[in-house]
Amino acid sequence: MSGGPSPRVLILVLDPKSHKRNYKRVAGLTSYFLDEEGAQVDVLTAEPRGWGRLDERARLHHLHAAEARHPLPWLERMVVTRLPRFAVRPLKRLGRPGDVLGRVQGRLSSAVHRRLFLPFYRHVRPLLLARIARRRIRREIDMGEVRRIIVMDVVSVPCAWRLARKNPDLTVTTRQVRTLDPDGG
Amino acid sequence: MKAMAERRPRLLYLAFYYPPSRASGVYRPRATANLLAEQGWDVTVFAAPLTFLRDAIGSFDEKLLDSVDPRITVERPYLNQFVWQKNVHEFSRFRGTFPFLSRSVYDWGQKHVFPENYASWAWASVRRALRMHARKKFDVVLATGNPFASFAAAWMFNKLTRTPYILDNRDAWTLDLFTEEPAFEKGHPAYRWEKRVLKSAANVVFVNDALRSWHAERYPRVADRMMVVPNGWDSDTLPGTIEPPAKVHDDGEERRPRFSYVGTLTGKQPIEPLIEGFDRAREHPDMAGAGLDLHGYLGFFKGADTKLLKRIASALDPDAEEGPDLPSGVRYCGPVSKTELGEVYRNSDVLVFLAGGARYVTSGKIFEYMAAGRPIVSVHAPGSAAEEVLRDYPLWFNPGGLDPEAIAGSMVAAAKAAAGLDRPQIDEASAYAARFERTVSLEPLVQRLNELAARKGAVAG
Repeated sequence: MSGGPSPRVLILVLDPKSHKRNYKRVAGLTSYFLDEEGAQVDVLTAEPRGWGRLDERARLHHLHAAEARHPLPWLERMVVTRLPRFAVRPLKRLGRPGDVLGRVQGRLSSAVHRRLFLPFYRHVRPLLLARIARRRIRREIDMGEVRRIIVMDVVSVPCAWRLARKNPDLTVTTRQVRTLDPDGG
Repeated sequence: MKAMAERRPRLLYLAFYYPPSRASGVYRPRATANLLAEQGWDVTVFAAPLTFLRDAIGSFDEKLLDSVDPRITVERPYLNQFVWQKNVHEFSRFRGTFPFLSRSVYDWGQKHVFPENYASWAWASVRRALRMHARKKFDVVLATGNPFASFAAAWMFNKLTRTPYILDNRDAWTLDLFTEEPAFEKGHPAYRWEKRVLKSAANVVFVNDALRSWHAERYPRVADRMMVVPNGWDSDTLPGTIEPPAKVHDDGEERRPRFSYVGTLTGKQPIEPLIEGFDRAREHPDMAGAGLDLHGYLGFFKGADTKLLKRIASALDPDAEEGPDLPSGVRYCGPVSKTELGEVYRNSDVLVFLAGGARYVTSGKIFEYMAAGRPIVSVHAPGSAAEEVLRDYPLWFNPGGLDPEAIAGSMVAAAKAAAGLDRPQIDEASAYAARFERTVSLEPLVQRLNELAARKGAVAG
């Protein structure tokens, strides 16, 4: 055993719901690196729920709050949902016509959100999260100790790609293999 | 005119899997290219990039390169390794910045341009072939699949230069050889492409008659251009004469009789019936010390070995806790280099022919098995295309299916035959196998290539 700090593994799973087994896989990888390799594990995610099975020794970094605070989704919610709702609210006093108007507004807002905003946000979200993650990593994770970055989903790719460019000697892989060996994927 | 007539024929061989790849489809292109070079052809092979073989699929055997005729020119056109890239350092800026968009662009190409991950290799092959053709003309193109992008490249090259092409189906494109069902759903672009490339081909080659018939039925207009060129065994991998095995009942701790499987073991093969049959065979008094040696790679791609070893280990008791130990008498011996192949066959008493699939799968290994002059026990589904070639082999033991009891019976009978095996029996078996030596089996293909080249004024030899 060398006297230096124990190696660190960073698991990027910004969108764990993209695959039904992601939570289980992350829990398995985490346990392995903690128990078998004696490594420290950091898990970076933008999903607040579903982490009950994760080993308590792993550090879980949540990005969802920062994402929710970001001006882009905030602005979209304001323009597409809140302002129209606010605009039709006085008309509710008209009775049935007011209710119908309210329902129409709800459907329209929902359609704009689903059909226009989400397809656009799908491409922007990974970049936005990469930006948030970069600040969080700079503050909370010593990249000098990180030996391996495991990328679990597509949303995490821009974040991983930027880390790979900044750390050319670091193993940054989408292969979910249980090893710290740089040649193991 | 005379000088024109004596020009060496020039072949463009589109063989994605070519040494140092260790895929099962490597041996046929290797032998074909070597044979043609030997006969005076100027052969250029377009093969997979080395980074793909080494890093992406981990299917690589450097020693195979030594068996390539040095007169052959090997080119390795570019392949977009999008689906195989796991190392984020290798991602392009576009993919690293817009992962969803880059995926969509890639998928669009698969759906609307060519339905295979190797399409970029085909495009790069056509571009490079055109450059080489401009300098010195190719007379014929021979394309082998899979991947079937090579067929598309041959077709496109033909459209641009009128160079005739032959398609060699080592595999089938739109037929799943293992389920014997169509490989794609109705309306899949692969059907359109298959029809297109077959229509303009000078000839279409298959490895057995079952495959030829299936395609002839689907494409009757091409049927008269279809031909069968079976696989064969390579004389450079086996010694000319095979010795009888050392006496089966010898002393010492050596395991006797020795059953051997030689070849890459894959998940498609009936591993469980083999192990169960062997276990039951060992209950026979003469078979108590019998051993089953598995020689070869486990799977064609990296990462397959652990799964297959587990499958062998738990073959007798699927519910048992997975352990590292293989069943009693079974031994995994690892890959065999070409130079050691003769030694493995010499030290085997009985060969076990393990094959997945049935009537459309011949398996190239069976020819080598026959050339080794040993009793062969079949372990495959009844009606396998291999039965066609094994039928007249004098030392074939066929249990008629995958029933472990029948496999055990055949193993015991084969071991008895091996115990009394003498030189005349081996000679008889070898004489039968001689008709499947690669240069003999490739003869119709070489002849056809010579005919096509002669039309362009080139003569081999």
